[in-house]
Amino acid sequence: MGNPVFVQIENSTGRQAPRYWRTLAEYRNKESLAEQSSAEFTHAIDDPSPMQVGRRTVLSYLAASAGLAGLSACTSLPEREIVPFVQQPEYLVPGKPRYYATAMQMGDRVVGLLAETHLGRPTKLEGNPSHPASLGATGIFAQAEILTLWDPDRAATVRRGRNTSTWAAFAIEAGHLRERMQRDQGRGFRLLTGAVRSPSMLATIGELLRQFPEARWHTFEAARREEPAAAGSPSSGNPPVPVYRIAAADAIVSLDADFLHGMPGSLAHAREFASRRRPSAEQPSMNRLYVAEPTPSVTGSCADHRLAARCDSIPAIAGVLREELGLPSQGPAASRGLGAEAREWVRKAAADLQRNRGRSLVIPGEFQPALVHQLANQMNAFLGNEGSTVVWADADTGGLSSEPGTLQSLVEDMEAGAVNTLLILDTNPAYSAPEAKRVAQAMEKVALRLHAGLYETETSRLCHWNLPMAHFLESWGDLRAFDGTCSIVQPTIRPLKGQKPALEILATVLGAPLMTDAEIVRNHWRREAASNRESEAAEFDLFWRRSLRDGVIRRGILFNSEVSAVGSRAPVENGPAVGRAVAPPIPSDSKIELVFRPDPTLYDGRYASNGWLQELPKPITSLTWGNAALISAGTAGRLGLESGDAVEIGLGGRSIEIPVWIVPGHAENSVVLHLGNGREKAGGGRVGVDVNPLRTWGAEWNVRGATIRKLGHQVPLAARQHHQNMENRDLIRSWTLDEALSKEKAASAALKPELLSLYPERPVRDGPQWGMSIDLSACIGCGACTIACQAENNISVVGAEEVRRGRIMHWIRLDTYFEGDPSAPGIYHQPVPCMQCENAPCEVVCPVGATAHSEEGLNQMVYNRCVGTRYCSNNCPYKVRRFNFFQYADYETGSLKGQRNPDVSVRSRGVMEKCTYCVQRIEAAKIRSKVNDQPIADGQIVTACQQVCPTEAIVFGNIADPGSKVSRAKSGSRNYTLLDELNTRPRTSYLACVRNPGNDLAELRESEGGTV
Amino acid sequence: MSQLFHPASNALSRFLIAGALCGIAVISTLAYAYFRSDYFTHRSLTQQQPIPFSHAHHVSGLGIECQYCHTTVEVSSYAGIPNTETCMSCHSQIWTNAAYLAPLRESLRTGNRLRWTRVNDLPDYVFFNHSIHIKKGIGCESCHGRVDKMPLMSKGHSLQMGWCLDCHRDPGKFIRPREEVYSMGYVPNPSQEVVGKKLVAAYDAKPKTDCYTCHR
Repeated sequence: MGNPVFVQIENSTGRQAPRYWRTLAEYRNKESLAEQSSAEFTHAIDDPSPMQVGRRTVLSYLAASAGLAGLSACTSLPEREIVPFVQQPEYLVPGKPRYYATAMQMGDRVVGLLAETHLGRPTKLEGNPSHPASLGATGIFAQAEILTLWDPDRAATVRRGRNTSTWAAFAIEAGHLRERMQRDQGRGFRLLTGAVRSPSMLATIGELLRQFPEARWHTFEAARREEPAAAGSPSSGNPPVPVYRIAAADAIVSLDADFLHGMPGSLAHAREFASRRRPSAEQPSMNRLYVAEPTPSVTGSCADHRLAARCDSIPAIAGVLREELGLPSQGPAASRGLGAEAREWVRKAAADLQRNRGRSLVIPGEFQPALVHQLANQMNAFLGNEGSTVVWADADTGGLSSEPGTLQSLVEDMEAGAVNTLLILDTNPAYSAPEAKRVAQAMEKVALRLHAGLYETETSRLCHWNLPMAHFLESWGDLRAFDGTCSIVQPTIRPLKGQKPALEILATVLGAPLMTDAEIVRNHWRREAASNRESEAAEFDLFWRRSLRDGVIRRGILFNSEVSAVGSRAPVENGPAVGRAVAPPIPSDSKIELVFRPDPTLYDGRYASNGWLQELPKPITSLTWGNAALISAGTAGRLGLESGDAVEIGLGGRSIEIPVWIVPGHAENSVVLHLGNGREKAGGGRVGVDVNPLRTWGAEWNVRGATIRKLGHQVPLAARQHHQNMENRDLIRSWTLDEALSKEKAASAALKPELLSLYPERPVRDGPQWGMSIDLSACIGCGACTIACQAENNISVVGAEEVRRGRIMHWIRLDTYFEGDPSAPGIYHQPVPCMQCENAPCEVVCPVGATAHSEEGLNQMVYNRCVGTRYCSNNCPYKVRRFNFFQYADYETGSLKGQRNPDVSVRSRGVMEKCTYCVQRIEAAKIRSKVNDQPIADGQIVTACQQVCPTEAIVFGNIADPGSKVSRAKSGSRNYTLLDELNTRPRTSYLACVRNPGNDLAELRESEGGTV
Repeated sequence: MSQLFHPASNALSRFLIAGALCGIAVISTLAYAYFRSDYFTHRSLTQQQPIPFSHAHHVSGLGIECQYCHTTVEVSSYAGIPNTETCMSCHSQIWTNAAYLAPLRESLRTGNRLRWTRVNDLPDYVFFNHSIHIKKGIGCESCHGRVDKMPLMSKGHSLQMGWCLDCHRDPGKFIRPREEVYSMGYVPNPSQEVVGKKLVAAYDAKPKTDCYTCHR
């Protein structure tokens, strides 16, 4: 750890390395990449085309297409239909969207949502502002769920063996099953589910276990480490769950915890975190974030002090940190084995934690062992953070007496022949479990296997019955969020192909095949409301309707101060068990460690057939359509590897073949592998590499002693990072807190040369002038804006090959910049939509006037005029225009039509497109304001990217109004525009990123001494 | 060397050049005329419909207000096409056995929707909004023509972009008082020039000719 490993790759041409860079090649000033990416579209020309076209063929095609283009004018007007309702539903106004409050679950994460529907079609999901886990924002998965709903590959028919069957046949089968279970009290019956966050579902399972006392329930969540939940508390049975209040913390230490992006409540965390990252003259303070992690995560990329540490050294770091804080330790001093860099990081973190007692926070990583969680809890208790930055929420067990079993115990029972019936609800252990083959083999021993899920999966193929499950937007339900807030899940559409919700499937097994999910949920809450005296029976209807409207049925701990006071615990004394644990073994650095993590965009593989998520560049690496083994530049140099080189990773006799990808800021001798890729049975076939064969029980999350062998060939990966190369221009601006507050910096930033323009001065128009401000200090680089834009604006998916050619269609891209030494770089994110330049270079070069300026300052792109010369894209200095080289939009697949936003054109081949500032929302708001005679209030128009942003980094509004939020944002000293010197006068501007590394350690000590 | 071309070829080449120019002009004129003709735009063309519904009878004959059927015209982009039940609110009482209303009764009985053929149709890349036009005093008649005189529905105007822009560039030519929006055969008093100017100011009617106003 901490070796100066980067000597060999620095500056091979002897030129000065740029301060900010996006790819390692850029850092090294390699000519090859510079040439490659100097073309507007990389690979567009040198890519060996599958079709070898000669000159004559080209000419004849040219002539033919010119002739055919003329013919297209000869079409007559199409004849189309209007199909009115027989009986129009009340309140339904064609042409106006309706919103329904609902909620979604993914693993342990629950987010409250508002579903936008057009004539009964759900088309977009937004966050529910009154839900504590959303606060109006959503993550990438919620955005992509709408595509999953309309996915033509979803399971549609009941299948028995190889034949299609019916729900009636299943009800009969369930009847037989129930008869047998009544005889033997359910002996040998096992239910396997994912994480259950639904109170109604818990109650239904409880009912099942009461009726059949010998039946057992197991849960399996592929992307969850089981240990920490159980280890969170010394009390047995009902472990409370920590809820973090990030906004109250001045110093935060993350021990491999991706709390801004990858944890329950991360949207709320991100909002609170960012609220402390916007220093101004009025509020000059900022929080400080310390992160130790193996590979840069979203959270790590925002850190003020980031330590690239092997996953298996985190327990040791936690131990040393605890020691440094002055907690008594019984073991030997743990700090001996740590590298100098890590010791320095720990000292700084400890000093900061000490200084901010009661206002600090230590967050343990989800994939760290229970020990790290114990240590973190002790530190938080010692620092007096309990009750201020950490509160404890009760875990909801739904009144069940026993904890559900694990998959491992289920597999053991199946192998022992103790299981005769297995019902699996929407979980896929035959693909995603460690030793998945063993799970599959054990399942073969079960006499009757039933599977209910959204898709046919590796697991469903092993089952006698496959029951197509309804999507959450098609079913009733309820969900409990991270802080205990409950929401009702309400459907927005009937199941597209007669699928059934999980609750109804369970009810069928329980002998109530006619019970609907709506009844089950409503009855559950009627009982709950009665027992909690939340409402009288007569008032229940009102209570219910209010809950449906608000999307929140019961407030959680963050809204309830009494509960949080009760939830805080006394500081934990240093017990003997903990004392022994304080000195965890220091790992030797030489052995290669494998770290398994859920995929940033595919999670545990459940989204493998979702094209939006496959094509969403993964944070930091920017990889799309597939995964790679992430390694550090030092390790790569030692092994003679370049990004894209195929390697064989071996571990204990098992091996996989996978390309490597070099990540700046990655820990040495650590290989991070993402689960969820390489699924055989998903969407268009296998994408990426399944890393699961390397995992075993007991070594699910990290394991030491892997071997890496170079295979000698390259695997083409579809990374976006080198697209739209910056050519060393000064696009990113980052300051330290001191710089941000200093007057000189502000003055020098405000200093601008006088710029001349060839274009005539635009007359000043009355009426609104739209503009956008993006705060780089708040942006955490999660990518939600990109996918929200895709959902809102009907943006096509192009596929891996087209991504490799640089033809990705996203209107708002997320550029990631690195600063300084690649072994410990600063990391910055920059979302780049259209700049909507006032002097737009694209407009003057269009030969057909397909792009023009509007009175309100929008740079308009008119698809129906565009003839596809691509001059505009050539002339755009920001490279934000996207061209439909092929017919990317799917006009054929029926169900995908249902997803599309009816207010935005679906673009066809040969047409340029780009960000419009969500003009459909602007126009809708303008018309609404005129029809209702009310002026448009500031903040009433939100763009899709702004609405989804968890940190509110994006602000949109009228810059002609000096009081608007966007005008105020732009008036600050941090404001800057890209490529100022070109005088394009962008309407989109940025606020410089501010980091708060603090003073040197010595000064820190001094100030500490002063206060003590 | 003898002359390659006969002197007469001078005349021929002049004739050919002139002919080509004339040809281009003629073809352009014909094409222009064709694309603006009712034949191409389907103006005044009646379509085959499941029920031969007569606006003339219902509007001028019975005096039913436009919004009785087109309910959402003031609030939404779509004016709304009446559902089967709206028709049946009268036709369950009158003309209950009329043969040409059989598809309507069939629709109510089976729950199958009526499938009308669109008469006033815009391409998918045009986003027209009824509510704002009503609000700003543009009458139904201005776009849909004398619907009260159409026994079978047909397009009143070409609905081409140039026609839209006529009004968007100078709404004073067409704007009418809000209380006259739904009337047919409205005659401005004193003259449209005078009334138009006043109303444009009163209703703050400032239609845009930006592309994004209609194309998104």
